[in-house]
Amino acid sequence: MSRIDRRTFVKGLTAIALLGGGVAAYLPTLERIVRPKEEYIPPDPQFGDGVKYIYTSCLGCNVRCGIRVRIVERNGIPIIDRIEGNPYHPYNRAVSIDKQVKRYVQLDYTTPVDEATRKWFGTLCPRGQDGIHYIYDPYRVIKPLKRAGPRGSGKWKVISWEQLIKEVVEGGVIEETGERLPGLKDFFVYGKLRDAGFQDPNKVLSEMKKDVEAIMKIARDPDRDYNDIARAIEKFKSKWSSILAEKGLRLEDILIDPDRPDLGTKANMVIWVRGRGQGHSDYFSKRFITAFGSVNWLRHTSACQLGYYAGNKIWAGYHDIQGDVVSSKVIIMAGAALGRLHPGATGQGLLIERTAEGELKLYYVNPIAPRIKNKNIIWVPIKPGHDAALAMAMIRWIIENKRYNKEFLEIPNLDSAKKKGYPVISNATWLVIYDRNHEKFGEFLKDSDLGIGNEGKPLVVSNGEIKPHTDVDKADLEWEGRVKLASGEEVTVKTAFKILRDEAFSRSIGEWAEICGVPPELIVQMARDFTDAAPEASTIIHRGAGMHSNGEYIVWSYRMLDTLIGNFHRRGGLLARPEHTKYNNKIYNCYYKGYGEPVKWGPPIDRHKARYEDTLEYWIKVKKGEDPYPAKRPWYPLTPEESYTEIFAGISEEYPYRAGALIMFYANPVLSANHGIKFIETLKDTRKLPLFIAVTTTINETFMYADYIVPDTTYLETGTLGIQYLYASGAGVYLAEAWRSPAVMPLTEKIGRCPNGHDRYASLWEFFIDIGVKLNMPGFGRGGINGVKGTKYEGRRFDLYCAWEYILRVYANAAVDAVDRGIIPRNIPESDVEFVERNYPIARFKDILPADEWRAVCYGLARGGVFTQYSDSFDEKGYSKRKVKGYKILYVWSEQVARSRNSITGKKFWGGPKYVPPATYAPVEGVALKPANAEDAIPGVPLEEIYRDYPLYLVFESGPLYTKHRSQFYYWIKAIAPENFVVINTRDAERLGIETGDVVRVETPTGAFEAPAVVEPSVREGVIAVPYGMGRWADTIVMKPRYFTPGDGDLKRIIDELPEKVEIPEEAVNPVRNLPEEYRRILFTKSPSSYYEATPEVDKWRFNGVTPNPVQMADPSLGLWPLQTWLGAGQAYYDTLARVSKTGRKHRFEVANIVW
Amino acid sequence: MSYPTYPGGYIYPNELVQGAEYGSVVWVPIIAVYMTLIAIASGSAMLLAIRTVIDIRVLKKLTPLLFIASLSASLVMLLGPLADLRRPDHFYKLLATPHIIPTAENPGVSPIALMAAVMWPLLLVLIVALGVLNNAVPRIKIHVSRWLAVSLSIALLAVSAVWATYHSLLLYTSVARATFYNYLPLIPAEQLIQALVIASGVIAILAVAHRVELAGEEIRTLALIPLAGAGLYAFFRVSETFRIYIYTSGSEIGSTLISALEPLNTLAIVLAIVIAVLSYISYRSGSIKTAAVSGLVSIAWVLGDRWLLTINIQSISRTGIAILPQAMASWIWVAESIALVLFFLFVYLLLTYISPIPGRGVSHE
Repeated sequence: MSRIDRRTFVKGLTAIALLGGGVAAYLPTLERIVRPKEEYIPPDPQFGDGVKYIYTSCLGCNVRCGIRVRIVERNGIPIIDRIEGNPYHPYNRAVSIDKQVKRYVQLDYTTPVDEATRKWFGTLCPRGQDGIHYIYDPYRVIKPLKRAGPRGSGKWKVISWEQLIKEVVEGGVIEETGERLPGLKDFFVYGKLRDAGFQDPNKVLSEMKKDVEAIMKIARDPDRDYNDIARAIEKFKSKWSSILAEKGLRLEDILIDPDRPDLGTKANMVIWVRGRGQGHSDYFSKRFITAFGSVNWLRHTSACQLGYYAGNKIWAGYHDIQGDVVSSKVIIMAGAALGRLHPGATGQGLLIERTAEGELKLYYVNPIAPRIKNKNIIWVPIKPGHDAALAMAMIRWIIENKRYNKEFLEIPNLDSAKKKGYPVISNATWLVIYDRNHEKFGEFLKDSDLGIGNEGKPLVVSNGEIKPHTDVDKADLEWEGRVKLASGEEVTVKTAFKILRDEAFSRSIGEWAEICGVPPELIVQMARDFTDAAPEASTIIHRGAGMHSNGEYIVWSYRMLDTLIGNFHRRGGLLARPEHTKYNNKIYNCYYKGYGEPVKWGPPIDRHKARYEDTLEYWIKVKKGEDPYPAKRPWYPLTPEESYTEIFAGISEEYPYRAGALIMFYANPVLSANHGIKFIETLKDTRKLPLFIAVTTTINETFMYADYIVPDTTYLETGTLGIQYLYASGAGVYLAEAWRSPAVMPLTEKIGRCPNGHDRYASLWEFFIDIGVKLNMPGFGRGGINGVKGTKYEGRRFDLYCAWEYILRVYANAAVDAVDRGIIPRNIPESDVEFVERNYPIARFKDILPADEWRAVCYGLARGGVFTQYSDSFDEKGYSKRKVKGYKILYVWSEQVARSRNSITGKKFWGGPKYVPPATYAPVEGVALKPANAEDAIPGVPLEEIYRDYPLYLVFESGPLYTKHRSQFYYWIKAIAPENFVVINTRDAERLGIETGDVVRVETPTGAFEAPAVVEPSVREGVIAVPYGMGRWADTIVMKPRYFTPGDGDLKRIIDELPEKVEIPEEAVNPVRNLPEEYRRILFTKSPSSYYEATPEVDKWRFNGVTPNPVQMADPSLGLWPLQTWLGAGQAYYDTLARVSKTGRKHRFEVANIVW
Repeated sequence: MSYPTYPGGYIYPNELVQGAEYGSVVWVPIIAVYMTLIAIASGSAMLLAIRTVIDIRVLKKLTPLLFIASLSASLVMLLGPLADLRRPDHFYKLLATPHIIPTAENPGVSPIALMAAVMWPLLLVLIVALGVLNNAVPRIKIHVSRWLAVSLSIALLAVSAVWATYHSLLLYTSVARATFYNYLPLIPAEQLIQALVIASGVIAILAVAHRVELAGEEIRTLALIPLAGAGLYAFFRVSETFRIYIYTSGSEIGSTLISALEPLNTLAIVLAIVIAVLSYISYRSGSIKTAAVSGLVSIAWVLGDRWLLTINIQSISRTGIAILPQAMASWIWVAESIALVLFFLFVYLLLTYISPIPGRGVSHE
């Protein structure tokens, strides 16, 4: 072979080897080209076998939007795949590929449910969609727990459901510490009387109550003295000791304090407190507490919106009133977060749309900017707590330029109003005794005062004469003069309008502007636009305005704007809540009363809706010649709802009486109240709080001190089942209610079956039912539910042994009423019944109802509630078809307020809207009162005067992403905003030398916390803000917080003593471990498997971030308990003064784009 | 399987589900080999184009090698992305119906489709055209005007330059865009230099393999390319690294980023210096073997740098502040990368059979 040939041969061989080797090495790709493997990955199943749809109601926040939940069966387990909006619900607004519209509205209620499900969707905010992480939360407790160490030690052990019920009723022992716990039967007075042999315990209690009222009558009688009272009490004691002794009982077994029979029976020592309440968890819990005989059915409203509620109640007699978002042309939105307040992040999209299209001008009064920019959303950067100055400036301009509705304001009585076509009146023309030194200062001048009548009718001036307000059709607005009373005294009187005018004119617009921090030109513009659009202008007021110590006065002042233009109860104006069906007592009595519940009396432990001046304590002091003031704690007769601060202060100070047991549900006051860590001392104290039971899904900062944990379910299971009314304005519709039924059966442990064969799962419902049955409480167990009088079920009784036996009857009430109203048709389409029976877990319990009722229920369930349309909700004059709620009188001056006294100082409250700065409830020891304070409406010391070294206001923002603090498990939302920080205005930051990323120390009068700073102009100068929703330290797992330090040494010690880790049995927690692996990985893509596989470990996202709450403002005049509003006892969240300094450390943000 | 999580940093959930076959990597390692082949193809083509316009003796002598090296690499290189496609059976669509004209439904242009369907055939055509013009193709002789030859050369230069810097274009469109901008804004220039350096190195290797006789002066001229190129590259990369160090100094984010990329970056700088030194020795000694050794180093250098900018840079999460541990679960990529090289060598051998390289014992005349 030639050299070339050999070379060529070698080359060829090499080439073949290279080609062969290349092909061999490249074979996998060649395989994929020649024989492609197609793996079909279908989209998530939408319809068909194993796919179900449930229409129910969201609990991502309290707005109560509708949701449609898709459940897909995987590996035999029904799993929630997706949550979207309910197109039938007025908040959700219907969307369809087939129908592109400019403005979404809700779907017609009669739309067939198959069509709605296949062709329509409803909008829904991110919280609602991320509800999947709420139910599938590894930290959830699924079995009953009892503490296995001292309170707060983090040690728990599993007990059976039966043992739980037994110990809660009869009393238990903490074996590890030897502590004895009382049982509820120790306090169930009705049961004691019955078991002792009294055939009719209520007869006994009624008579006892009458005797107590007789004692009070003696006490109030000015002609009786202390000895008369003492004798009456002795007589009472003697009588009842004798009667009770015949059956082996003593007075001490029945009454809290025989020497103070006005405090009520021992049943009052059992206290129920709920945090988030919705649906029939509220009515059912109230049924339980009422059946127990306790007056202490208490809610979290002070942490919610009590300042706003109280302000409205004082002004209009109804607590929840807001502007019409659908038709108002100008809205003053004060202290309300865009993206949160009803109609919620979903429904408020409508507000934003309307502003973008020029239909609405929105003045956003808030120290934090709206992060939505269009020319019709105008930021009004208010100084926190000084809103009343803004309102007064506007009122001044309106009055000066005569832009008020004179016709409306001049109407003195309802008959005249009716003639003129108004549904309400104001009392602007009513005369008020305005002599500051007179004992009747602030009261209305009445016919009896002048001796021209004896009906107590307020008087007005009409055509120069003073007459009863009922006798004229029109009266003078601005009148002031001297009148001679029947007693011979001369007093100054003014109309309520004149008092308001004088307050508004007490300062120039420029001076008011200086106080509230809003430029005067902007104020004038607001007033002009507001009155130009009248009566289709309104205010939307919420927590940011109401939750200041002076909150009620702020709300009241704002509501004067509405009063001046006469926009109440009309399209475009102010509206209260929508109507709802008679879901509690149409045919079945599912209500909290009317089934033979025990008689009860006495003030609640937090003294809400109770007057100190109605107590024996007060009168005994008065009759003894002692100064009755101060009371040990404040009393709040004017507030419509309850106070966290006063609940715990009451328990702690055993005032007005000792507590016996506390049952809490879905609440977390330690975290959620301003300076709520103060409550821990009380919770830990087993002497002051002998028994503490928590009903909950996870063990939070409050519940970690409980003796027993009752596992509860989420809203996607049986939690907060039932029917949700909507809050004001309810999108303006005449009637709306969202129905909530389970999307899946509970993930808590199954505890058995009821006597009628229905499955039962550990939850709030079954807990109450089993306690009620064990104690043989009226309204529970055999024949627990009575038929309503006058209906087909009159005289009949139905068993109540499980949640289903209650809730299905609630739905039946609602459905039957809706049929009667013509909203649900009489002939129910078969397809609706089939839809519910095929899809809804609750359908397996349909045997509880007769067929006709079940069919009507199906119609409502299939649509997630009962809804009407906005277009059908107003009459031809533009007034709402709803019933007018409240007094039907808008109070420009309130005699009730003017007569109420501060129960610490004894000073009367100011009876009308007024600018007062945020202040303490009472004078502070060691701080001199300015002379002016002694005269005017400030009850205590202005906070800015006490805390001069704290130049900034600390507020927080409750935005569209997080639901206060109970949503750190929303991991899809966390992916957008995984952490929070302190937002500081650019000018303030410049002065302090702070940049974004600097870790700063925020000091307040009660402590300090550290957080990274974000420097932005989106918060007002002089204000720092923390986006809410993080900063947890206990959520079944405990992670000691290191970012805050309480100023009080005892509180610091309590925080330092938090356990390093919890001891909790693996079987008791984590329902997620049973889900298919791929599903868990999708839910928790960022987390290691140790978060969701066994007993869950700490996952950083659950405990990161900060909350300012632990170091928010306390009241130095009230023992440094959390600061509250003066009249309503709302938590004063936004009055915290602070100062900021750099720590020198830097923070690395998780996500480059900061979103909040 | 464990998943990258805290405390490494924040990761978008969908970053974990990409590249299922290779763990968390999206661009598979064969892409680094592909990019190396591109460098060889484009570098050789650029030298071929330069040779057409400027009469450089060593390039004239090495024209057949330049032609065959560039053609072989060009013919084979798209097998790299072919292996990377999720559906390689659909590859023909990229060529038959490429999305290179924006439409109302699909605005924008696919750079991948542009390169595959337009720039690749163009490269092949231009390489063949200039090969013919430079008498590198046996039995085909075409004479054209100088003007046309220059135009074709400039066209090949431009197309080759685009190919040479194509990787940096992909980085621009990638999720590590922020990192890319902050870290190495001179990447296009560096990649252009690398193409020329690796091409000259590969040519030196092939010249040794084919025993092409080169005069000392010719070897020195050839050695100038990697000497200047590697030196310039080293200067650029060191300057960049220094700049980044100052820019990110004290920043935890920056330090984390740099720590992920530092080893291979340092290696790239060191190898560039080695290449420069070897080239200098080759320049001084006139040794083609030293130039060939420098060529081997340059292959490692380019491969390493492509690995850094293809694989390691993917470890930086989209937010730019977290490092994802790499999980390449399968060794298929090793075989396929080797296959690419084997195919290149196969095509090269085939072409040298068709058009033998003039060397000892082989004449092209």
